[in-house]
Amino acid sequence: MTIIHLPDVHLPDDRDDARDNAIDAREWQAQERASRAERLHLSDADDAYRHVARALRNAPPVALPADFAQRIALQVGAARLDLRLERHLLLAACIALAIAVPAALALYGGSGREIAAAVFPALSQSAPGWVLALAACVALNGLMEPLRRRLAAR
Amino acid sequence: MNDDRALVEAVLANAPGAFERLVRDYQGLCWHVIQRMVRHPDDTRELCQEAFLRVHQALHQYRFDAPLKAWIAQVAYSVAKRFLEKKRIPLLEIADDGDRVALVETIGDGTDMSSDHADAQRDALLHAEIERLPPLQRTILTLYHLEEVPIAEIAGITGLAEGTIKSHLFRSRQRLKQALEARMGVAA
Repeated sequence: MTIIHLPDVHLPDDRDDARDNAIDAREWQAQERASRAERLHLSDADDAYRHVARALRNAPPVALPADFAQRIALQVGAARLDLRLERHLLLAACIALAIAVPAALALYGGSGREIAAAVFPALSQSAPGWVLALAACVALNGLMEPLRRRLAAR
Repeated sequence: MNDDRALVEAVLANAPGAFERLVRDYQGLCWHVIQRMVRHPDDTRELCQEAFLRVHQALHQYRFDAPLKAWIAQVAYSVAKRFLEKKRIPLLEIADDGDRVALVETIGDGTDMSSDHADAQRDALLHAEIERLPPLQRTILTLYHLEEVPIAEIAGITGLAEGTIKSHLFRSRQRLKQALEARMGVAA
């Protein structure tokens, strides 16, 4: 009897199997022959493995609703619309902010800074630095995004 | 492969009906992979939906280095595997199924039955035995016999070595044959 020793396997799922990774070549051939005979509707190899192969080709019926594909496609389309709407709203909010900040500075001038310094005396010294650091982070993130996408696509 | 490419490119370009066609083409495969892993129809339906949403999200990462069928089966397998892990159901443990006892008990010894009846009983016995196999083995058998996925691609789908896939196929088919012979005689 010929025994083929399959290579050791090191994946976590295989730990339990590593001890008996041996296959009887003649039995394997019988299994494959029966599988092929069943697949090609040949008349030979009508043994127990033929019955096994026949049963394995008879799976339980697919019990998905008739409109499953249509529903999934609609769901994906709705999610895409939501995402587009979200992007437009975000853009609108950014534009409003970009207009509102200079307008507020023009209207109230330096008085805003004096009030902030009175309320948060410690922060007022370091605030410009933090604002700059935050802006740099946002800019860097934006610049990295296309690079990240390109790497993911490889 | 060209059909795969055309379909994927159409989906990525948001062509009308393209994703629906992709789902229709592969929903049977997805069902078979997930159903063999989790067994319960309601869970299978939900996970099929999750799998296709993931397929849509990640389709831009598909590189055409394997057939689309294998790539989608891999997504379905990973969705079902994560589900079983959350439920703490081991992939390699024999199912403890009360239904199986009832089903097998209804099978006679096959001595005085018509051929059709004997065939039906043999099929019932084998299906009960298939249900008793661990989720991983059920899925590997289904991919190989029903979906006709080659061993190398099953290895890619499951993340296991080809030798391990072969070993699972060998042992599970041998076990089914032994169960059949033990119940219905060597002539089965």
